[in-house]
Amino acid sequence: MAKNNESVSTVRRAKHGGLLTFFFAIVSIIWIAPLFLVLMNSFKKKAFIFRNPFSISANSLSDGWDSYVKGIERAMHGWKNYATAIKLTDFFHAFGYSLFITVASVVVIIICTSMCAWYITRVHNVVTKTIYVLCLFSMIVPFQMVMFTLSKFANMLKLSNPWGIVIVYLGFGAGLAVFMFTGFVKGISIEIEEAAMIDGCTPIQTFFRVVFPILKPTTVTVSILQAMWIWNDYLLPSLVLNINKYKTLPIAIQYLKQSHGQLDWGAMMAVLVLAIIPIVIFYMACQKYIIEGVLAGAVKG
Amino acid sequence: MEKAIKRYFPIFVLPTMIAFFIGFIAPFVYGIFLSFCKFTTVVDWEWVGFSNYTRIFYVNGKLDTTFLHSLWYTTLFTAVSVLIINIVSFSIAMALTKGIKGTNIFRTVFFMPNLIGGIVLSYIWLMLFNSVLAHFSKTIVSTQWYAFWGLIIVVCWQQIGYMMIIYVAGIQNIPGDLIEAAKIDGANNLQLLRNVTLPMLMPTITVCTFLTLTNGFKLFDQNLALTGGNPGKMSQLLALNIYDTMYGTTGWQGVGQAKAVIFFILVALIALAQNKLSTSKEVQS
Amino acid sequence: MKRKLLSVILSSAMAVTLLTGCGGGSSTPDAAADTSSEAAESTVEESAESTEDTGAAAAEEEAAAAPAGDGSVYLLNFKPESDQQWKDLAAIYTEQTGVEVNVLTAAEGTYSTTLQAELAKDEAPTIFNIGNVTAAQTWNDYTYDLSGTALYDHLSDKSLVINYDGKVAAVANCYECYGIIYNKTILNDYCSVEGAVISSVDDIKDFATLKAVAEDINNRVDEINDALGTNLTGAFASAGLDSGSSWRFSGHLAGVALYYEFLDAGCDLVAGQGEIEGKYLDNFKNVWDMYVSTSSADPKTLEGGTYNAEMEFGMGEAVFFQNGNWEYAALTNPDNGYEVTDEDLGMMPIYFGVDDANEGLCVGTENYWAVNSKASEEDIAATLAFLEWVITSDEGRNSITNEMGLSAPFDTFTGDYESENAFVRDNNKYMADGKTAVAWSFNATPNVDDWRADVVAALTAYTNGSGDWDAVKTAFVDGWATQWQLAEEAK
Repeated sequence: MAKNNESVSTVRRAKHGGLLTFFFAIVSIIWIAPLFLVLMNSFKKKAFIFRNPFSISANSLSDGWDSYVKGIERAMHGWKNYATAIKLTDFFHAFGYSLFITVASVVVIIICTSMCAWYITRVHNVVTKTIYVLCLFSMIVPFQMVMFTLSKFANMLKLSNPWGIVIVYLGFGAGLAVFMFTGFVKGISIEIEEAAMIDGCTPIQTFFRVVFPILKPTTVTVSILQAMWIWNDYLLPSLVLNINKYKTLPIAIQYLKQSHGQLDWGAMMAVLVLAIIPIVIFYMACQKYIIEGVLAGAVKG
Repeated sequence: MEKAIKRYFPIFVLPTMIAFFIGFIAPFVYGIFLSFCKFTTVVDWEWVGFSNYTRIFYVNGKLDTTFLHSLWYTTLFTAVSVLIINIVSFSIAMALTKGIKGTNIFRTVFFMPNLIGGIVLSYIWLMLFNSVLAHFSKTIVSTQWYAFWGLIIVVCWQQIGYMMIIYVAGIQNIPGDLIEAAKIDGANNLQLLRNVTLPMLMPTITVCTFLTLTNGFKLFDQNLALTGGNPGKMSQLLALNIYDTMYGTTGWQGVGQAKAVIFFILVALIALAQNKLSTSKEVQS
Repeated sequence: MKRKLLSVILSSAMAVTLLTGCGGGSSTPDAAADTSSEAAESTVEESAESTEDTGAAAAEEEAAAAPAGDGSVYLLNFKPESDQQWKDLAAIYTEQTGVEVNVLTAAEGTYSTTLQAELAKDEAPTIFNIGNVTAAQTWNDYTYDLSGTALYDHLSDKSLVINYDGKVAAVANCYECYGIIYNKTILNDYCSVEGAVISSVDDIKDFATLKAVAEDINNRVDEINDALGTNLTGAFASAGLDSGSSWRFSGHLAGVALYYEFLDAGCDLVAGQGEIEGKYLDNFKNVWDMYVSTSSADPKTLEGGTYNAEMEFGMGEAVFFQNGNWEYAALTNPDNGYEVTDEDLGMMPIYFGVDDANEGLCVGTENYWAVNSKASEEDIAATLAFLEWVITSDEGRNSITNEMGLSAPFDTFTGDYESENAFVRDNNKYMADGKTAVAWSFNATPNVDDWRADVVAALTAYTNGSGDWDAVKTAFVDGWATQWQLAEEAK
């Protein structure tokens, strides 16, 4: 697959490839520097996170190498922050709930909203137009405006469990997903669908056999965006879920903070590092499919 | 074809709409209703008419301009962030669809700031900004403009990767034969960009401008963590201003709710206009 | 455009009614609007009704083990650090009595959000936390009169309650103290340095002496470091004006000024009054100037959030640090990497230059238990029984003192159940010496976040040189009156 990719752009690469790679390599390093600081500080003791946030040592390099090395020993906490974080946040349970809620919600959102988006793009009437505008509206409304009323409705309908919150996420995430799918459905040529319908496909078959595969790159994009949002979301689950039973990761992280501003920063950074690993893996796995989908489309075209 | 699909409304649209009703429409309509009430919890309200709305601007018989200030500050912030984010992320997306070495790694790197949010990252940025500004005896909240650019930097850093992904998907959706055809016709790179890529990308551009626009108007976490609205509420974006009203002032939950309604109407107008504008430029297929 | 928007909203309201299938053939926009608002109202009524039988519903759902007719308890806990201890305690109580006790802890900084959401639910908390008079006002419809309950009777200091609207709205569940934390070891050693302005730590008995010591340490910091082998950077830890630290001054330090003013005015020390004149603001200014001028932090950058006073004190870079007994756990936790230990820690009053001879530490709380008056009678009874058990049983007392590390204000906490916190020990010593504890008068602050934000903004401008002290005075005095009036209107 990589080979295919190469042959497409061999000519251009010969001209600027090396230079661009070099440029982006530099920018990338600057880009992730703040994340690297989080990683580095996640191994340090609280005192030194504040005292020397940009250094791994308690002592400055200008005091000589030996004192610098000694300073590293003094500032570093090894894996202890990670151990503390895992214990305090009940990490594996929280991880499980987060994983379930994220995966279930994303799957439901993708299936329901892509269908909805296709329908409202292909059918033109007042209802579909209204639905589209409502979806736009839902993206504009500040969450603070609906949070208490949403929490009340979810409570009334007994949605305060991981299954129930999937429905809430479908409702609240529908706006963005429908909006994005419609944007891409508009770009799909209608002839293929018409041909399928003439061949005797029902709209459901047409959608799942013809449209959905074409939508694959968009599906992946929307999944990434939704997964990221749901994985990191704090306020909505904290208001909707029964947080005694179901603490998701962001909620568990929030509970590291104590009254009077007390906070174990080392554990906080450690748990954040742990929390982003799965989503980085997920993203990297998905990236492959974006390219694959495009290549598949190119062959057909 | 449209007729054939039409009957399938219950299967295609209804599930989403039911959830949408529970998750958004019902709370939203109820929220508008509450903006005309004085309430402590949502089940415990008292109708007060428009007084919540007048109290946004008149406090103790005096004109209160904090909401207006935060309104134009937010508008400016949104305009600047929309421009920068879209231009930069589009450029990066173009560069990263040419198949240069390390494309996958770069895409991942640019996207990563999105994956981790909230207090810790803002804290790291605070450290970075302040350690630089300390040389000039200034901080990120010395004036509202330091705060402004600080917020712009953090928001761009977080969202450029996000928008880049959407642009990449859009660029890769452009049929290869279209570009080949243009090349055979002798189009140079600039012409290719202006006459093929940009028009074909219009739907994507619509999506991205709309997203950055609403993100800008709704920004909350970074604002709270990085500047906290300082100096003296001068860097308060709208969402934080609303939040502050709901919790800072006793019995003002209704006023906060009313601010949210005004805010919503304003952004809705802008977003609808934007959507109309860029949709009209989209190529009909 | 407006008309168009309106029609969109109305048509959406219509779509809503159609979707739910409850609005018949309403064809005019007016009718549609009416239907939807009626729907909203009926929802409210329904839920109001269902709040009535919370007890039954909760019992059905969760308290299967509890005997029928008994109430259940739902505690909304304020302190995230004691979440587990409360859950353990609840489990013990359920085991002993069969009464279901549900504990929910709000995450830090989200208590008001959580409380607001939870109280609207069908199974609402029966015990919740309020912090001050303003909160008592907000939740006035939900607070049960606690006078005559065992909880109130056991309270050793009857001033540790919130009286509001003619009832005992809430009772303190712990008390805390704040003052100036100092590094005993360094300060003792300092006394032996040549030219020291005191010969013993006990010489610091008033503001003037404290200031002289702080200035001397700050001026000769290199000399003292050489003599004692310390790594001080200043006398006081930085006085950060960022949101993570400014409450120490706009709340706690301002509280001392308010206390003396209320004392003179003869009003309730924690309920305050509608107008203040800022009588002791000059003293506030003197203390503040001392904090700023004797610390190593750049006064122009205090609001930036870069400074961490706890770290400076913990690493032995500062001798003085204004804060409270809650710092004890963080400072002595070996995992944090701080250099100070239990023996280094002491706390002295914030000498204010008013009545230094008699002034003790500032003792009070922002943690008061309120019982939900909208809960069913059985639930209220069960709740009061649970709270009594917590403060009288061995398990409850042990948990509060030894596991949560709190100082309880009840007469049942004696002997083994006294606190081991070094700062609380200091407080007990001051009390034994006959000093007067300074009440937490800042609890009276109207619209506390707004008032403090304005004071901090003015204080920041004054400190970095872009504003003057008069603005602080205005924010303090006029701001108080304005916010008080706003709060009154909201009643």
